[in-house]
Amino acid sequence: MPLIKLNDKEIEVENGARLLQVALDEGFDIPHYCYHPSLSIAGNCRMCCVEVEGMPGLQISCNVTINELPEERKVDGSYDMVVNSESEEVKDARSRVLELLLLNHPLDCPVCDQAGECYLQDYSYLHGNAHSRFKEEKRVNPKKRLGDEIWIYPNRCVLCSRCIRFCDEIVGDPQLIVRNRGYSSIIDVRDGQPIDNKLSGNTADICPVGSLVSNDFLHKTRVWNLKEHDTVCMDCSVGCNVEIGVSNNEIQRIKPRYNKDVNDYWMCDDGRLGYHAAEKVERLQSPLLKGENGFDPISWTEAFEVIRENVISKEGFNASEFALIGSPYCTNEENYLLRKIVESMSVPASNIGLYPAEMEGDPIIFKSGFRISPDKTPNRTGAIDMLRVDNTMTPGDLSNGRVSIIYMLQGGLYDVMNESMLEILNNADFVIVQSTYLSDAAKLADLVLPGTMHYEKSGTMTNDRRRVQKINQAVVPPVGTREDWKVILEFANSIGCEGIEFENVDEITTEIASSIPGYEGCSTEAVGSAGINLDFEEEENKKVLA
Amino acid sequence: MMEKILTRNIAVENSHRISAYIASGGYEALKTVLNDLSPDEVTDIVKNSGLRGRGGAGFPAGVKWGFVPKETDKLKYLVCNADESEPGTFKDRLILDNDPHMMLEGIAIASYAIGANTAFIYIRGEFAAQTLILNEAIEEMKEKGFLGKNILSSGYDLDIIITRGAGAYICGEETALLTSLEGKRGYPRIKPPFPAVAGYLNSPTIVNNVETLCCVPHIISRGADWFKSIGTEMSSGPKLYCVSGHVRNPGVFELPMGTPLKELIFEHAGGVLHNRKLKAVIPGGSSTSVLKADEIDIAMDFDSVAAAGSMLGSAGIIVMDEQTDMVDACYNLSRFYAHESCGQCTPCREGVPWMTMILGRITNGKGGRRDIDLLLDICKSIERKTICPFGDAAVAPVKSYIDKFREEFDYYVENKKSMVQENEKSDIVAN
Repeated sequence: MPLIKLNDKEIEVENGARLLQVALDEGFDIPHYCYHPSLSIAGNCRMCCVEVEGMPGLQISCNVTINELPEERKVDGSYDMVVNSESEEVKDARSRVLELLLLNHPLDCPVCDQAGECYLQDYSYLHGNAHSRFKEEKRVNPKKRLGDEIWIYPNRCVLCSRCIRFCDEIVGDPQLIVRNRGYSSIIDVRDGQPIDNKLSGNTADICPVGSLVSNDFLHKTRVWNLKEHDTVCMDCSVGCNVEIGVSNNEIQRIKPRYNKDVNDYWMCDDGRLGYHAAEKVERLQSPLLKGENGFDPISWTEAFEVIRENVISKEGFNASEFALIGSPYCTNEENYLLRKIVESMSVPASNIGLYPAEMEGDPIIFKSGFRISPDKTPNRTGAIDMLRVDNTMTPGDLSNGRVSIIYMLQGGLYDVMNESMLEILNNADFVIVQSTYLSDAAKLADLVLPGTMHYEKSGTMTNDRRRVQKINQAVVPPVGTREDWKVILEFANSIGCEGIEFENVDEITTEIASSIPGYEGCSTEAVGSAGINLDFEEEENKKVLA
Repeated sequence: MMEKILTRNIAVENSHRISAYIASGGYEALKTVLNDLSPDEVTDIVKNSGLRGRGGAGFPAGVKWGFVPKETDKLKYLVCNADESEPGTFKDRLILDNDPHMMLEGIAIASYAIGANTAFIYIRGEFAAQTLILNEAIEEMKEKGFLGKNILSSGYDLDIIITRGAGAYICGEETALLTSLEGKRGYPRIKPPFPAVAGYLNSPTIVNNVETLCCVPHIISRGADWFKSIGTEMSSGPKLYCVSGHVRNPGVFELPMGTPLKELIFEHAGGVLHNRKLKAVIPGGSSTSVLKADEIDIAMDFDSVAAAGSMLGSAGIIVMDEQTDMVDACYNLSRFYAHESCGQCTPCREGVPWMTMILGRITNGKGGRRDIDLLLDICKSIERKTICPFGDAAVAPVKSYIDKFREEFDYYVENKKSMVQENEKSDIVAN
């Protein structure tokens, strides 16, 4: 392995490693704009220059690859490369590039969405000059909407071409171009067609300055007011890692979080904007009991009394007439609690369901391999594993009319009712639906329990490639609601399930790790912020189910 | 005076037709190559001739050809760079107009030497008439069996494709040319990889200038030693010098490498116009540093001009007489470079137009004392800090003009007017 010396630090690197990336990984903050680890090398910003012994002038470190040298050519007899990223010449070159980038840059940081997380701001502070020597008139180009989600403020642009390369190399649809030449260069859409690919929002994320900005986040808040929460996207079964920016207990934006095994640096616009769907529904803030004139709000205490009365007291509990329907929108922990009820109350396997069924369609796969799943449920795999139901049996076996009491968990916002489900719910004597809003299913229920949205809860989920990932609460659920796992637990207690006691979600996660086949080792700590892959294959899982 | 080699046919009637070219011994070299020589032998002959690239950089052509990987399953390409657009340079156009077959024969031989079956001619977009001539010449070549499948029964195939540029100076830079050839925006690429390894469509590609390729048939016909006997030790062969500006007899002159610059200006180009005094000479196209009148006692070969602090470049000699306003001339060139910067690299995109704006301000009488040092400092921000040599090319005039004619710049910022105009006026009063 090549050995390099970077500012007196000895580093062993892989053959062919890129100098800039090595330096960044080692914590050397070499400033850069055009370099992005997932994009090709453009080498145009000239910011990342360093001194490399034996090479003439300054080198842009993004384009320097480190290779093992033969013994006789090693620098000082032992190094394959000796680099200085802090020499006076390097510092001078950086401040010169910054000066040039700032010549025409507007001083509109107070109204720029990027302020606070802007590389131009940060590097100017660290490496720039306080005074401008530019006495000429600044170049001015009007802002322009490039697509539904993207605006460009060309005056702020540093022409690093990250957005262009992203469209070319990751999306595979070169929708962005440089128009005009030289000093008049400007990023624009091709042929006047809006940028409408499903990954367009990422161009704003990777813009190192405030040139490309998100329409959704435009002038919403200052980034330093945001509290960022690491979690997982809820809008399809891929499970992109995301970072949710929250202020005033409201989601302000969702950005992708790097995970090389799942989503790299990207996420799709559906997921990015998916949180707005929750804003469109009227959230339930107390349990609802169906009366003669529609639903009446009741207290949680009353709700569980109603449950006790209807599920176990009326004619005694009959497990064969009791059905539980889990949700692929809910966490592993929530579905696992349903499983606990099944075991505790000896509910027959045929009375366990999962709804809705897997959504059909082809995945959208982009040039880089990034994909969007047709199944919009985030945790189908996990729900199947927890409930040990076959994904295809949803809830077919329940439709023979024997079932009289149904407890249905309904996470998410899915609101399509299929005929068999309609029939099941209509035929049952007493239906309890746990939902965030008055969905079609909830409307058919006798008792509705308010549920919590994805970004309001914590736990784990398993994506469609069998990777267990941690989700974390980003916003506090509305007054009157309780976390889903607590409601399920209380439901279990109210119908007399024994031995189901948990203090917090982590305890459930721990128990899953010790009792669900394949989930061994999936403790909260082990799952961590990046997730872990389940080591057993789907085939083996089927065997376990059998 | 040297025997005419590259321009020997120019005066012949219909010199652009294949009949005229063949009558002068044309395509004999190609026959020799295809019948008797291996590609490596051809490369070696060119190496031994000492032929250096005539596009400006002066890199030995044979050595460049030798960089093409031998063991590769990729297609190889030869590109003839006919995107002549350096201000003050008009030598390739002369050949394209009058002797296209000499270049085509050179292309065929070079293609054979590097194992390319496709050659491109990337021709400057403005050369519309020359493109027509070339098209015709290629048709003639095909008719005679010098192009196409199994040329002269040698088993060697070659196709020549003409691509017209779209008006960008930068596309004369070889990597930008290749990007443009691929149908993309003409941005230069980072080297390495060099085109000889990864050029057109990532395949090994050799890019040679028109004049370079024109030397090749002559080297094959008459031998490397003959070629080496012309010119200087390190810069061999004949050279087309373009002389323009304030001279009596501007034009292209074919003379050996190393011809004294003074001889070119005062003998061949007839001396300075109106018998005025010489003030400055740009020796190798606008992107080379300017020389003062007392610095022109040099030989025009790669090393001598470099030793004088400039470059032989394309040998586009621009002569300026005593009445030239050097600040205005500098502004003029700077405007050109600001207009032609591709805009890829920060220093060039932002820095060159900034220099131009300052120069414009100075010539408008709005310059300040600090502006001149600022200009020199901006040069430092651009020099050697860009992907391609354009940044350096744009800096060279500004730096050298200020360096050598500082008093004119100082005069401008202090008196808000040109020193030259002032002198001119006093001349008129005196007369």
